[in-house]
Amino acid sequence: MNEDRIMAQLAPPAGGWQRLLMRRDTPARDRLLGPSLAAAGTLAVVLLLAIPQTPDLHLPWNGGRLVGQPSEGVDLRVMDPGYATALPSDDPRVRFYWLQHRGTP
Amino acid sequence: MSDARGLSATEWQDLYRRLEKPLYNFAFRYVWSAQDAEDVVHDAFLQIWERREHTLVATADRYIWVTALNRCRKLRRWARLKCFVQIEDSLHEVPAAENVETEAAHREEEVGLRAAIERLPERLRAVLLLAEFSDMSYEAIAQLLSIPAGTVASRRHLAVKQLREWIRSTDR
Repeated sequence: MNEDRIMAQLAPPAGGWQRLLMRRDTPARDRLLGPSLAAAGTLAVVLLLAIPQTPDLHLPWNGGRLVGQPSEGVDLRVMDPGYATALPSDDPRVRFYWLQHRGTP
Repeated sequence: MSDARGLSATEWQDLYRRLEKPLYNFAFRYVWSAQDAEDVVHDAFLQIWERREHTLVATADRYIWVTALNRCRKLRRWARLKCFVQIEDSLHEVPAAENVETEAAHREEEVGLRAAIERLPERLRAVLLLAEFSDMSYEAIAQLLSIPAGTVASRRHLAVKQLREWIRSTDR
């Protein structure tokens, strides 16, 4: 049937048998890991693209500055035992504190 | 040596040595990528290896060809979805040519052949490539594709005719 072959015979890439044996001897779990990770990545990208973007983003307190909104400020809480002394500020949106650890001079 | 109820490692290796080249050529003309074509061949051989205990030596060839055909079709469907296959990237390395002009002519030929094969409808492409590379009889191809043997002959005839016409028309 192939006496009237119309296409050239190409040589397969060298080392095919060795690569086949490597694939055969790789545990199925490892063989599936690559494609699974790729599929998971693709799915994540698709989900990110599919989720509608929120046009009006409200962030609490100082996070608002990240999106160009005015910050509502946040009260200072000293977690470690110590003192916080409020200092004067010309800008009402800016507050200064002097922090002092308890026990330090 | 031949186990009637399963495929031994030696038989599997012999099968690979015998079918690697024709299967690779077949797959390459389907997926147009050396890497994908090798993957198709390897996938088919790994599949038959995993089922070797239930594979008859007598039907192993046919099993491999069907698996490769199905895998090629699946890859083509993916390629259509992705739509970013580039002809330049997928060209097979042609044997070292005597000069640049000969090499350029080889590449041109391959691009023309590819374009012509791509224009064929799938039912003609499958028959053409199986008949071209598998060494199977028309009857065996007919069984594999579940079509009458006469249809294989007529489809191959039509595919070759169309291919030659298209290639001739692009040569002008």
